[in-house]
Amino acid sequence: MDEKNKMEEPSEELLWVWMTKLGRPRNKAVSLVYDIYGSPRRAWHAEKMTEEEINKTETPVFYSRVFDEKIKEEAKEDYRKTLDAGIRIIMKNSPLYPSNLANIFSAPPVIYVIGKLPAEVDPLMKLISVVGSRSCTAYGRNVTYRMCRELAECGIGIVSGLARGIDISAHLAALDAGGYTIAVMGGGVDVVYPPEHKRTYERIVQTGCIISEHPPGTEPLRNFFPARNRIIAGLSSATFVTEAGKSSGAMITVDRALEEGRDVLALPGNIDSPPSEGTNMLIRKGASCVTCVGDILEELSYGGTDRYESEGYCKGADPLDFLPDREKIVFKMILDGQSRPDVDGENSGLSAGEIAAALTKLELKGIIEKMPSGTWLAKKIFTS
Amino acid sequence: MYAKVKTIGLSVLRGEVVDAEIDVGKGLPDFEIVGLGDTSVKESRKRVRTAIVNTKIQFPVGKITVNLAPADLRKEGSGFDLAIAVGILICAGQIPEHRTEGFALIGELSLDGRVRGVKGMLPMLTEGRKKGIEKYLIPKDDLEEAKLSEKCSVYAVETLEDVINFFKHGDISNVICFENTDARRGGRYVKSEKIFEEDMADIAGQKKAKRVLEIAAAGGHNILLKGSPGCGKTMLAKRTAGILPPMTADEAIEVTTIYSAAGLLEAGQGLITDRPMRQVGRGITQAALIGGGANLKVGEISLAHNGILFIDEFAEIGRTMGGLLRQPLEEKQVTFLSQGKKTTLPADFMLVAASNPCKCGYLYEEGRCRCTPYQIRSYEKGISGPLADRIDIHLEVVSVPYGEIEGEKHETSSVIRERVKKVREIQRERYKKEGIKVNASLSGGALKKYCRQDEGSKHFLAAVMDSAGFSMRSYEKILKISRTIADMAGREQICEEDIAEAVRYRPKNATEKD
Repeated sequence: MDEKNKMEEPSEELLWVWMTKLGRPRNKAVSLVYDIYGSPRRAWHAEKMTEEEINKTETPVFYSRVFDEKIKEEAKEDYRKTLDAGIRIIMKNSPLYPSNLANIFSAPPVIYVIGKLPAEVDPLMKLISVVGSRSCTAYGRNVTYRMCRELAECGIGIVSGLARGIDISAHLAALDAGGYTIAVMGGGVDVVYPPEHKRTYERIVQTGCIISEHPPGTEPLRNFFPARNRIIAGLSSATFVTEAGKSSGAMITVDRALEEGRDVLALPGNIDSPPSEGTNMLIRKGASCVTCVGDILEELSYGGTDRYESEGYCKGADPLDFLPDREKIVFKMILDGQSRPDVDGENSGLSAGEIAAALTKLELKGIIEKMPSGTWLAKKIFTS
Repeated sequence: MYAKVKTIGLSVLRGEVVDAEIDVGKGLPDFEIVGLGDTSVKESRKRVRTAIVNTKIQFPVGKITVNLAPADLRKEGSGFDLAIAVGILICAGQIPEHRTEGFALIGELSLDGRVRGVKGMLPMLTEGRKKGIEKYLIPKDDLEEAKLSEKCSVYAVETLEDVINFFKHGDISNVICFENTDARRGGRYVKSEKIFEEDMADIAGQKKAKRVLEIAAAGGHNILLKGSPGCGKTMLAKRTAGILPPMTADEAIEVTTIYSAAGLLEAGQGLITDRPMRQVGRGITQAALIGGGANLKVGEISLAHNGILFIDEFAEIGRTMGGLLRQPLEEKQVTFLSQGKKTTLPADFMLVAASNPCKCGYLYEEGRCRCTPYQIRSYEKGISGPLADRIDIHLEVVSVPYGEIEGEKHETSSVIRERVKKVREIQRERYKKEGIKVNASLSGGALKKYCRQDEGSKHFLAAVMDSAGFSMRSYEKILKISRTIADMAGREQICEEDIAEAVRYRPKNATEKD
């Protein structure tokens, strides 16, 4: 009997999976386990009570579930499935658990993870949370993309929530730059929401990571998102808001960041633009005003801006640096005022097909934009 | 006295074998034709009688009844004249009936006894062959056309007298006999004699437009040219015919059949060797464009079969007309119900449409357009969304700055045509088993099978689709265009560059993110 018990001695992670199945809401069940037994392991091995004894307690359902062998089996099954799906369960006491997140007041006791955690990629990597409105303007989207791209190229990880609008631009920028990015989900790590971001999700799984505090398979509910935002804010030392209306979800993230004493940075916007109301207000109240990537690097106390100025990452940076040759040629043509490189780009040495292909790629990178009149415009937003 | 002679009528594009039954009986002199003939069939009486009389032969006196069987089939045209005349002559004892056995007689009679050509000789002979008729007596005018038919013996005559001598005495001195073989058919190219007066080399600059037209021609993609008045849209469109490869013999036969049935072949003209190029403007009626109508006309879209249909002022032909084009564009044929019958005509054409981009037309010219966004949108609405979506390639054409008009020599159409021909051959080889000819016709499973992409391009296309603004149909079209671009570069797999270029030629829908 003793031997059998030893063989079945559950791991911390399995205990956690089991605990989350003991009742709803989950955190109530969890706190009951700790209040009554002191630890989940003790609860697992707790002496079985008779039915009468259970019925006398205040929470009979909870007790009956604790002693239900079926639930233990289910937990084992779930745990196995989770591991099979490539999802890891990281406990708060694990060395892999992000240190910034561990320090917040309501740090999730456990996180579910797909991909590589920052500690596995580069333990010294800095992270920045980039948040913003789902209904953003082209300005917000483009600046987010450009800045995040440069940040990612500086080796800074981008944390966001895979939502539409600003979030997805931030993730895409990091991915396109070959950088690291974390998506914090509102539901389970394996539930892609919104579904149209499936491709981006898959790309993040390859090179970055997906984090959630909810067990796999959890559908994202409306009220999960504010709680999710505390994880976004908690993962990094600074939160950068690029566009947010006065009462948007992004502002909740900002509140969480402020509560934990993290830095808040905001991108100024047009005073007429509703999605910039929140960010402008933040700046007025003392958030750092970001006009170029250097401002962010300075705020992340990256040894001043000198280093990055010299490497061309700050104001006046040459966006041409990171473009492949053909795109560089075409982008230069547009910068030089040739608004139709596809029509009058005959002297560039590129064929009509090559120019067309380069235009698509530049457009996809968000660096140029097509006007209704068929002309192309460079989006030189923050290069001097 | 009763006689039966085989002849063939025409129902839109198909021949219909008809038995002309002639009876000369006793009674008051009378001449009647029954069997649902139209006016031209009824009038046959006058032509036949006069032709026989003018050939110096006694017209039989009696009650003449002609029945064109099957009697419930509508018949039109003048091609039954010859059969009726010969039937009457048999009854009159001028021609021994057994000599006409195994023959089908087709031809119109002129009052002086000459035999005149009729329309639709090729489809009529094709149908006759199907029904096992091996010998045909036809007008000399149609000999060249009849030579295109499958294996059979053709006897071409000029006058009714020749016919009588041929049947009565076996006299072939005035008859041209021709034995058809099947050798003229198949997949080889026909030689086109046409010299294109309009050459791509005439157009200065416009490298982009030329490149895109080459892609369109190579992959058989439909194309919409948008540009300001005078920027060269029409010039470009007209020169598209010159860069298409020559037709194969089978294609040429198809085209000739359609033109023959539509009565558009000139007397003495044989195979049509040039790809048809039909131009229509906004004044066109539905029946003229699509075909059908009360007397089942062949429409412009069928006349453009295996060739080009050029529609100018595309945004102004009207949404109804545009809607009618959708089915043929998708199915490469057109079906209409008329006279209680379902008729399907081939309509595998490449659509080249030209349109202004806005009401004033100068949207693409810097600073010249004063249209409001609303006006631009409503002008664009002239082309319905689903129709625009079905056109593979959308191209913006911009006027060439004066500086470019002068100067260097440009590629001629024949140079481009050779390249296009090569790319078409790659496709023909690849799609041998699929029953399609060009990339533009790919769909469903075949699309997946043949549009193989390398890894990089898959990610890239995914990113493009992610960036929103493209419909699912666009996704397919982008793949098809990429396939053609890859073929032009001689690549097996589609690569990122191909996709990136193809994306340029697709219009974007309103983006969700905006």
